[in-house]
Amino acid sequence: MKKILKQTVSLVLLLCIISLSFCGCGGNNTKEELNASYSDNEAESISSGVVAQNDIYELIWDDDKKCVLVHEKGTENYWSNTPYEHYKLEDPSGVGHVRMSSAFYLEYLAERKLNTAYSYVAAYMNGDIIAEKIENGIRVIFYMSELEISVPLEYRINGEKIEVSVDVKNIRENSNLVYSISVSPFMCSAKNNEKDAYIFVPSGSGTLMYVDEGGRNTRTFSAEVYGMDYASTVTEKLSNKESIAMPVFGAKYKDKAVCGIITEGAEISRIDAEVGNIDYGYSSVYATFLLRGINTLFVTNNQGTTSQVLVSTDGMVDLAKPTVTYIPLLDEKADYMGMAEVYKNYLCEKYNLKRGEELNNNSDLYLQIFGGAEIATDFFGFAKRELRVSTTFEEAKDIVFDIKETIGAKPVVQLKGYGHKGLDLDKIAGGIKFVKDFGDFNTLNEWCDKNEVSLYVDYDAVNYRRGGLGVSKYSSASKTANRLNAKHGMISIENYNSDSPYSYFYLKRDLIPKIINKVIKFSNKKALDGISLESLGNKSYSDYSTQKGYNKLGFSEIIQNAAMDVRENGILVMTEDSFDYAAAVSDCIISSVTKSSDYDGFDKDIPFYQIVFKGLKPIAVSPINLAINTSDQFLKAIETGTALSFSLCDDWNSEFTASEQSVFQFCLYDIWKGQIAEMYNSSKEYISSVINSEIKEHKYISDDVVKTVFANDVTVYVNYSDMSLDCEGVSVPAKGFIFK
Amino acid sequence: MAFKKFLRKILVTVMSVFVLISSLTLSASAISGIEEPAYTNYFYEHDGTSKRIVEDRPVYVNSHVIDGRTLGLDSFYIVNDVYSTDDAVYILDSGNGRIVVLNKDYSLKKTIDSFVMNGEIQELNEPQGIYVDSEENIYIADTENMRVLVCDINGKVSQCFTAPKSELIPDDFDFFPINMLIDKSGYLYILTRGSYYGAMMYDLDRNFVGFYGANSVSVTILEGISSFINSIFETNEKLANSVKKLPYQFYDFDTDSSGFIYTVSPSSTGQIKKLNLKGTNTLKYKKGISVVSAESFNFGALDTYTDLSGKERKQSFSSIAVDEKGFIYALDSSYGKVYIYDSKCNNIAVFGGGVGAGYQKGTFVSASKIEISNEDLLICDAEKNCITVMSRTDYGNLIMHAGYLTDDGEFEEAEPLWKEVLTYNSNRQVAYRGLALVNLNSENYDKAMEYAELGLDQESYAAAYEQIISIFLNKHLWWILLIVVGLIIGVTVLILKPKKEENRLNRFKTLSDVFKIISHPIDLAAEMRAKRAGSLTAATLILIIFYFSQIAVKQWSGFMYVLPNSSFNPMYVLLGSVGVVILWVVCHWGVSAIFSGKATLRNIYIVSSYSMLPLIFYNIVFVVVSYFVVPSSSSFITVLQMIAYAVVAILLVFTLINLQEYSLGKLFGVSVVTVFGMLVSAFLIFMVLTLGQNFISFAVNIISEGIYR
Repeated sequence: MKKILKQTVSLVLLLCIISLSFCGCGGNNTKEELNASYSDNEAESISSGVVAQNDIYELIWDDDKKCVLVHEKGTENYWSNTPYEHYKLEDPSGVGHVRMSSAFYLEYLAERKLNTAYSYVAAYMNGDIIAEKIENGIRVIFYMSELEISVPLEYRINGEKIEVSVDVKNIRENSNLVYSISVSPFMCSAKNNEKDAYIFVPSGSGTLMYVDEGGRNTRTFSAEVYGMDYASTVTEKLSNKESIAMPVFGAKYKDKAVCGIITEGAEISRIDAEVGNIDYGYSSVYATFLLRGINTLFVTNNQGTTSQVLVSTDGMVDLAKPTVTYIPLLDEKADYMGMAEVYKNYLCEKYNLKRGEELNNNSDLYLQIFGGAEIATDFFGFAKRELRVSTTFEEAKDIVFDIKETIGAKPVVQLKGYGHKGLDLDKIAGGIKFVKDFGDFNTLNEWCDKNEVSLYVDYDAVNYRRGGLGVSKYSSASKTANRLNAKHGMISIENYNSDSPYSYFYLKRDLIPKIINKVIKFSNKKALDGISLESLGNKSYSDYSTQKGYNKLGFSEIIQNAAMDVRENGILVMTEDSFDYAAAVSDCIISSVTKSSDYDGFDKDIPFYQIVFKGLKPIAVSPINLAINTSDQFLKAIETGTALSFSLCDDWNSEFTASEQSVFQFCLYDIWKGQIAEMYNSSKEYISSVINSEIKEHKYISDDVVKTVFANDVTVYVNYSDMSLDCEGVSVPAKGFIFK
Repeated sequence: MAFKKFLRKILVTVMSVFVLISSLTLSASAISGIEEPAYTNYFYEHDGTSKRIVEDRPVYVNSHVIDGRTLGLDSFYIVNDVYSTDDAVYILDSGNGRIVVLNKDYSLKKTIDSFVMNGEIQELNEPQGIYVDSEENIYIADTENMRVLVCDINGKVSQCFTAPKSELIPDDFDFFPINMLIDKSGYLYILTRGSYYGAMMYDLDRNFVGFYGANSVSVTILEGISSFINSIFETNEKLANSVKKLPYQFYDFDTDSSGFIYTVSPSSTGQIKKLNLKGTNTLKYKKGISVVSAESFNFGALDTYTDLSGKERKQSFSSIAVDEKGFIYALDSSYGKVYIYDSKCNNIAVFGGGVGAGYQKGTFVSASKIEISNEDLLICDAEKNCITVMSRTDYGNLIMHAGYLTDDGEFEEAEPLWKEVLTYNSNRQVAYRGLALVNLNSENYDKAMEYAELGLDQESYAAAYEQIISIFLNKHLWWILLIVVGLIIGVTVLILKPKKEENRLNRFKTLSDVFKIISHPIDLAAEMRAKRAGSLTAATLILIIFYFSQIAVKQWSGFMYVLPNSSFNPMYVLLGSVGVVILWVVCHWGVSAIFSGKATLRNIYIVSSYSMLPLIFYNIVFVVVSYFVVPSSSSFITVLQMIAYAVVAILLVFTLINLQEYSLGKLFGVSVVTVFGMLVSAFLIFMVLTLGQNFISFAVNIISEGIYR
């Protein structure tokens, strides 16, 4: 008996050992396998020469330097990852050479820590690079033997475009896990200290970084496209940053420019720039694709020492070929206006937008009216919170009526904070109801209908704090990379600490359409003109409960589908400070961002967002009365011919000091009505003349004066300085504008 | 009896629910309000016992950056200091060992690359500070060379200060100068690194005369006791090796037009000091209606920053500048923030940030120095190798000018500015305070009171109210006197009138018992022993009324006495009123049981509760009177309070002596032991609650984990 038992135990143990020894191998490729795949390819590796061509370009493979170049036929213009002047150097070396000769940078996870590898070192010097011809292009496979990772990149020429894709499905890896790949880091680059050269990054409305070196520190920029991923447990906001709303970037150098558009996988990408580095002599901007979900954990050991550990998803994103498309620009097109033009064309093609058509429901004035918020109060000394009304529907009507009567404007109105807890978060979409404390909505709605005032009601279909409407507090939340509920606390403006007890959740992405349907039903019942989807249009997040939701992938489809559903019901869609995909599918855009994140390296903010969307969609600037400098914000609206916008409420009293919402104290209608009238009247004639026109030209005449020319040839000069200035024969008043 | 039981249950349930509700606090998330630059803008508003954060429009914005590129020079390398005079701005580019001189429009005037002393070129070694006197002599704190060089605009060194030889200099003193200053009378002050003796002071002939204005060490009672106990029990060796609490050193200083020297230290309170000639801190702030020393005033953040790994980053004020109106600009290098205070310690604005990683404009990595140039603020960043110029916004101009005018007593000019400030932010406390002063000055007292209440300015409110009362009395004095005389006569007649019917109170035995404690406490005690007089229900009701009267004092008293307190927690009131009585009852019963006391728990509870009647009476009187009597005439309220406490003590003594059958001496002894017992019990309860809280938190964490997964 004992013997049998011993044998059984031994057998079980043996089986365990065997099965354990196979654990950890699943899903990975052994080096032999990787080698095998390369030995197959090696035979087909092509030699140097032209591998593809069209009417405009020749695609050339240099097998010695393992470099892809695009030559514009009939000219001496070459486009390549390695700047052509550097490429021609006979004996290049140094840090700059490593970076500039690398087709990509790779971030990989080794022992739960992030490391960076450069393809020049990892594949060219310590590995192998193989090229093979594909339709209209070339496929280059980088085998990094030390890292046991191989990455295939594909280069194609397509008309005037040069496309670079990462073949994600064919990336091979073993124990080191690929986290991100920065594609062609020097394709969009400019030589340092070159006059009039700059790097364009789409931070906020867009900004330029000048490429000087030596006089100041190296400037860097790195930000995720479409903002931070809210499904991340790492939530720390140390400063205010504007999100990247458009996956486009570029570089201008002499009479050339290159515009890069992330045409596939924008949601999983990041835009990085490094400018004025004395070691390289070049400045560049590039896209980085984040191929894995990652989360940071802090682990404290017995000695109380806290260390940072990275947790990543097992698989990579469910996207075959994230792609960056580069469009070279020459001569007069080689500037940010040229980049805006190609980006606008790309959006029109992708979203089927028509240019030069009259815009429906356009207005020269947009009003955002706030309902109310919760305040902290007490009942016989016992703490409680209750809703305080700032603007009832009747008062909102009075405000709009007053504006209409006094200045003759026909504003578009957005109502915000009329739900369950006013502006405060509680049930999803404010419980999809109007709280009776705000009075009778129908009176306002009927009045607006009668007076042709478009009325939109805002719903937050993303954040919630309490269950309801088919949403469960815990199980309806999106998941982070380590499978916890995605939630955020309120960040203290004083010390940036997250106030975790008051956190709110991010709704599971597949539940958003259901909530939108409920909003549509409610809106139909109330005969609403339009729905405003602020949070859906300017937030993007992952849901790691499914591979399709890794790294924000697919979030844009949600609002596109939502907008389609809303429109099918005869209701208009408004978005606020929205990302390009949301702006493209909405009927009007309010609170369009007019500034960048103000990084140290940002030298000149440009209204790239407005240049792109003006004339395509009705668009208004972010509320003038909430701006840092109201007179400058008014001039920014003038600069781009976008509609004026104001945030208003009817009442503020000292009770609101006990509210978490500070907005009421800045937007009392009684205080602002004079200035609204003054600004509106002074710009009415000009704004109405360009309201439907695209921007044809935009340039800085001097540091303080900007000239904008619209498609209908109306020209405006805007002077931001405190003294009147003469430009191009025109005297522009201080802090004013002149148009012709 | 059954009804009593039922009533008791109801009371207990209601109390429990109230306690439970009061322990819950709710909050919500904020949507973004105002558009902001890269950094947050806010100010601190005082609401009685605490201060709170109010979001605000930017008062200063980054207008431009001065670096090598803007001046056409090589990049700065470690910019440690900047100094502004009427004609120029001097930048100490420490890493490059040079001084860059700018015109007031921040264009390049000159660079001083070499310093020559006695024909020899002097290399600077990590200089930390720069100062320029009225004759354009440049003082350079050549820190690592342990000297201060004085040179002219061409770099010719005329004077060199090294460690002075003086008996006043301690043996362990190292002369690492970091900053210099010359006061109104021409005395030179040198700050040295790591010195907690204060600034080194030199007379007009530049002889060292001693140390000036050292910080003192503040020791709390607990720390004192702990130190005393340690000194008894620890060995000499251990004591010698223990960490001594030393005063904070001054990190920076500046002087105003009146000759006061302002210093800044990284302490947790009193970070900013305004020193007079003697080196005494004269900075004061308004606390309610009194003006008190700013030694205990926290000029910094309410809470410390904790990074994602849970590590705290402490605030550190490292630089200070004062404008000609006495407004203070303090730089916190740890968080990269600028704090602006007016001369009365009212917070005007807080902005900036970065927490050591601020790569956006207006945020900082290693902010080293703040300086005022015209209306601009210049902030050096040693890491970013630049100087950020922060310029006032239109809103900032309004606030600052309105503040200056109010300080100067030019109220009429200030009024429209304050009103305009409110158009930008309706929640600006300092504007309401300013308007209260303006209206007070223009004898518009009703308005002054209205504004003072919005600005939480009790002093102006009381002053305006006093004037209103005074005017009222002047107008109606004869009528008031007549009414008072009439009332006195009426009351006298009522008192002297023979009683025709039995006191109504006697019809209600319980009520009669309750009030008997006031009129005949000894009789009540005797009846309690003999006939079980007194009622538990009545005693409980009195405790509840006592609790609510305490709440009323804290929450419903007149504005002149009590400011609205957003962090009010009724739990503390409950513990401080009912909790203390209950603890007293239980402990006294327990102690008296040991010391042969005869009183039952029931009787102790009843007399203790009944004895609270004088306090209830006082609380009610206080609440009513607080609306009518200005604080300056409120000494009778203090007397009334003392009487109320004395009566409570007397009632307890009379009743307990009889109930316990103690002598006065024994009761006193037992009471002392009871108080000791109360302290021990409170400590134990605290321990149990803390452990319970930890256990609940542990359980909640486990449940949350389960739910999340």
